[in-house]
Amino acid sequence: MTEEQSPRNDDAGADFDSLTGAPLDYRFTLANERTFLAWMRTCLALMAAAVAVIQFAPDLGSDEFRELSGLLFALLAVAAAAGGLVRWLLVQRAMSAGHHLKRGLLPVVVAVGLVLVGLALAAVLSGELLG
Amino acid sequence: MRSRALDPGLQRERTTLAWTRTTLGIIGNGVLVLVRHERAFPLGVSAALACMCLVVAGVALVAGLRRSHIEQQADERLRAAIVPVLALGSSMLILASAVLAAIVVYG
Repeated sequence: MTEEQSPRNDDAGADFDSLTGAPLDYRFTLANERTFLAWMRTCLALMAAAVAVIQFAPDLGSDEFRELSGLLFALLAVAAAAGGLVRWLLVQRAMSAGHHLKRGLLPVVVAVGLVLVGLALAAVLSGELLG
Repeated sequence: MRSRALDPGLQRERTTLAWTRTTLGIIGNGVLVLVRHERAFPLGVSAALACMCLVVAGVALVAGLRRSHIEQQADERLRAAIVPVLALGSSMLILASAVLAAIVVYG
């Protein structure tokens, strides 16, 4: 049981503040983990939207419009999965090194994509309602 | 060991709940691709996507269970979840790419 009692320093570099040498506040590590999981759930929601617009809305605008919006949702889902993973790694590394956290591009990409598909959807729906 | 009362905001509990919520979301997506409709993907594609969701849900479940030890862990022994995060992140990336491919080919 000596192994359990000895301090675990196999991956020590990952969780210590390199400036002070003190252990990184565990709350930051867990907050970063929850942010990663939130991005995974965002990816899931975008995938569900992609599948829904392709499979469950056969009368929504033209076939091209449905395929294009489904494609955009799926692309955003891939971006959320990849971006969420990379961002977790970068934030964990920056926190351990005592650097400031950089603002990521991911929220902007997802927001712009959603605004575009939302505007297109609004245009198609209002066209169908009025026409 | 540290008592939960000293954990401001119940960080550990919120984190394990976030793993659970994510697992449920994956299962929900697996059910969604199985719902058949007139414009559905071919049955084989839907089944393949559902199977992938099942596998990813399994990854999330195991990763979350392995991570649940943090509920009893002392602050200074708490490490970043490198293996669970890499496992879930990469399998989610594969799943999202598969959905993208299915839409490109069969959409």
